[in-house]
Amino acid sequence: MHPSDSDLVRQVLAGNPEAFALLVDRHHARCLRVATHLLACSDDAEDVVQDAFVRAYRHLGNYHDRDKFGAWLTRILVNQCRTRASKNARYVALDPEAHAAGLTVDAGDDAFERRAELARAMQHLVPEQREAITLRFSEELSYEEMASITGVGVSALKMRVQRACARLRTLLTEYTSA
Amino acid sequence: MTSGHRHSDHDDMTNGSLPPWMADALRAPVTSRPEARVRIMAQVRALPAPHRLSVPLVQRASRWRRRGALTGLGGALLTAMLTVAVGLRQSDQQALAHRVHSTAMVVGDSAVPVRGADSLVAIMSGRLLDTMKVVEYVVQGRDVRTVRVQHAVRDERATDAHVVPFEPTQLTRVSDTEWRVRALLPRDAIAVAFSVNDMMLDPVALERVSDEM
Repeated sequence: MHPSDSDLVRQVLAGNPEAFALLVDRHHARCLRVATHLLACSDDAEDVVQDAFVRAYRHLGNYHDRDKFGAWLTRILVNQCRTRASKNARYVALDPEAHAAGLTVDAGDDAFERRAELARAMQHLVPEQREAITLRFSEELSYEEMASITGVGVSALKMRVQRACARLRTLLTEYTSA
Repeated sequence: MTSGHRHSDHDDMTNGSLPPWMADALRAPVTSRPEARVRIMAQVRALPAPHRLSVPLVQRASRWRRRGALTGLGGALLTAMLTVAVGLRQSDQQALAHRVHSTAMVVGDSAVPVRGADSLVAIMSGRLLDTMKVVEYVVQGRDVRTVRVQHAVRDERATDAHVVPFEPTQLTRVSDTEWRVRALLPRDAIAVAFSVNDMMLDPVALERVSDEM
């Protein structure tokens, strides 16, 4: 039986830092996907994910069992992404080809084309909308979970997702007609 | 990608949802460097072990103190309490005044060396002795713990301007219900105020032995 995230956190706090390796294994891929969508740069995404894990380890004493560890870690990650994006101004300067390449794992030509198309469309979303779309559809979070992570109200998040979808529709229509 | 496929995509996105292919693309795993996890753990091992933080018990001030000045109902309550306290004090004073009988009887005069603030002027003008009244203070009553003559006045209205320079005089207990002492009093004093149980009573006029006769 696999230990839960809370059990692993307790082990780390009890003086076994190696238990943190299991948490890294469990959450690294998911965190990297979120960071890649938000920053659209695989190098930056790797750095930010590393920073987020290190930060989570340093502040593990602040983690409470009543929260999901994944959500707590995602909150740290999103904040790190915002900081990095504002520092590098890359949140909006998205490179669609690099973004699509980062997303591609064993994808066929058709899938690659679709992802490149999606990446190109996401390039034109404002950072808040991109964040909302990523958390909602990539992480499949509820609006309440998104609100807890981003600090934004549920109704505002729903509006962001709706507007992002409408914007994507317009953009994809333009690409089709072009 | 077919045109029909795109039409269904657009329908999906109008109500805040994404077409399946787009959601799949967003959920697809991303390429990761194999050494990424190793680098993270190397950094983690170099850090001091984290510990559960025990939150210190915060001593929070009461709501009244946190709010600073008393407001609204609190202010009204405080005013009411002060009013009641002053009323009780006044009623206590009246009750004490009715319970206690105090007299200050002048039994004679006495010549004493000049002293006090005006002594230098008096000596320079050739006056070496001063005349003072010899007064016997008597207080009678129950439940009396302490008695002293608090001040003497030149006028029965007893305003501050008429207070005679005077050291408070302590009375001596002679029985369960009587306090008495004989002391000197400046000659211009015409009334004295007693303090009984640390509560000031109204001034009483000095009486002369001959007045009684």
